[in-house]
Amino acid sequence: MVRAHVQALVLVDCNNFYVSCERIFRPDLARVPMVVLSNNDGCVVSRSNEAKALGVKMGQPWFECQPLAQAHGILAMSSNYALYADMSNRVMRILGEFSPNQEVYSIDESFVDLTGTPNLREVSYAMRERVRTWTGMPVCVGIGPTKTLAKLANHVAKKHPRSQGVFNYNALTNAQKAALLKRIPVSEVWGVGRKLTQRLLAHGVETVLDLREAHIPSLRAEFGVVMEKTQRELQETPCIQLEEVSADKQQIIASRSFGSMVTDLPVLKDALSTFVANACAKLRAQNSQAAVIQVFLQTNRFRKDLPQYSPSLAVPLPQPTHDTLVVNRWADALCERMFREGYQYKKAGVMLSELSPVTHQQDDWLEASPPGHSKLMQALDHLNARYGRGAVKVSTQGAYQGWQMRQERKSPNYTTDWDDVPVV
Amino acid sequence: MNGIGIYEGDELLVDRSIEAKHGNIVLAVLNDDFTVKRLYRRGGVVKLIAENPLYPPITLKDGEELLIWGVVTRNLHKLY
Repeated sequence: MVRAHVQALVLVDCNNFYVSCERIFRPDLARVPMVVLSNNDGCVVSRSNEAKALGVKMGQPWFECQPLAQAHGILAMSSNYALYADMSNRVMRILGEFSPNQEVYSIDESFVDLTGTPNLREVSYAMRERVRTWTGMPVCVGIGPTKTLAKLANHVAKKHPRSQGVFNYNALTNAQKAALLKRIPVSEVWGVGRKLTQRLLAHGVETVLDLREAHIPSLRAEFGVVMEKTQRELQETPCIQLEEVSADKQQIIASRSFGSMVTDLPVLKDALSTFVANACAKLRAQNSQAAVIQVFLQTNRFRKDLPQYSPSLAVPLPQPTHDTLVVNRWADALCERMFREGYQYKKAGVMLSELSPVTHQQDDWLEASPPGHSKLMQALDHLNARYGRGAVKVSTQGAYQGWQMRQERKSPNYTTDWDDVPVV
Repeated sequence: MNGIGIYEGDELLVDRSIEAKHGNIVLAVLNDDFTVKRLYRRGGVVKLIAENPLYPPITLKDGEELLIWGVVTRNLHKLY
């Protein structure tokens, strides 16, 4: 295949994203060692460089960090997803201005196709600078001929201060490429997790260079076609395309662990109707309807001293729907059916599946179409978009407070709630 | 900033995409704290002017770091 030029795929990745979001509005925390915790303040999900240097591990339970935290004054904050999602949108929109081809890969990463752009280096620095000035978010930029190499280049940009946040793999000579790949352990390659790393090591593949040069047929025989794709990407043959439009979800799950154990049916129903409201709003946002609803309840499986009961029930809906009120009635009924006294429930959730686009409405001649709540749902979505999630709720939602997440250290919603804007 | 009509409790719009020029009202970070001041930048001298006779201007000393967070472009003043 002849290509006009080598692809220049750029991966922009926010540095310590959640921690950086918090710091933008708290300049006094700029040099404080800090972490952001997962739902219910359980585990560390984002660390400042200071916290990394002190030895806090990604995913580590916060209670385990207590001795370290007290000795060094590490600050922990609850996750504030409203803030992170809004900051992410701002960053992604700015990056989208640099190219018509963008894939938002995760909340804090985006691929941008800059193939054919002259002055790639200058543009990359400009990109980094603009995101920094306009949003306050520090980012690193990795450039490569394939997604896998762009990801790896980003890793280099992050690790090596000399790169000043931008690393261009395409600018290296073949000798430099080999020398670089020889220094990076294979575990840093996109898609190579802990288990694969172990298996690769057993086959003598330690560095990224080893993987690039590995014997192709034996690699495919042992690790399958996905690993072969990764290898070809390391050899600069693009195998993984840019996905510009995220595919609609095939199922939508809304579930949470409770802040404290729940024993009463009304509280469970209250929680479930909030999950239903969130799931149905997502469903409507992608213009889908669901044909199956599943509800599950779970006791705390880590508390071996307590009786365990984790039931789950799914039923087909008589008509595919995205109506919060209809789905809520089914969730309610399923919950009632499964609920048993004498258990302490730790988690519950709703899963909507068999999704289809709303346009494919098929009338059932046994079950007449219910009078459409479509208008009502539209109004509900508009009100909640305008006045904040939960401004308008189903009446079963929010009467009981016991089940909500523990978020004892959450920051204000600086960017999405007028009452929470920073005060000077 | 009473001197130019910014009062306690007012809501300010801050534009981060504008480069702060001499004379702009800015949201600055000084000693890890937010502050709203008029930016003075002439002949290598950087000052933050309070626009309130009760507060003297703050001149940036050697080694002190000033971060301009954004430029204040609007004031939403509450009437009640």
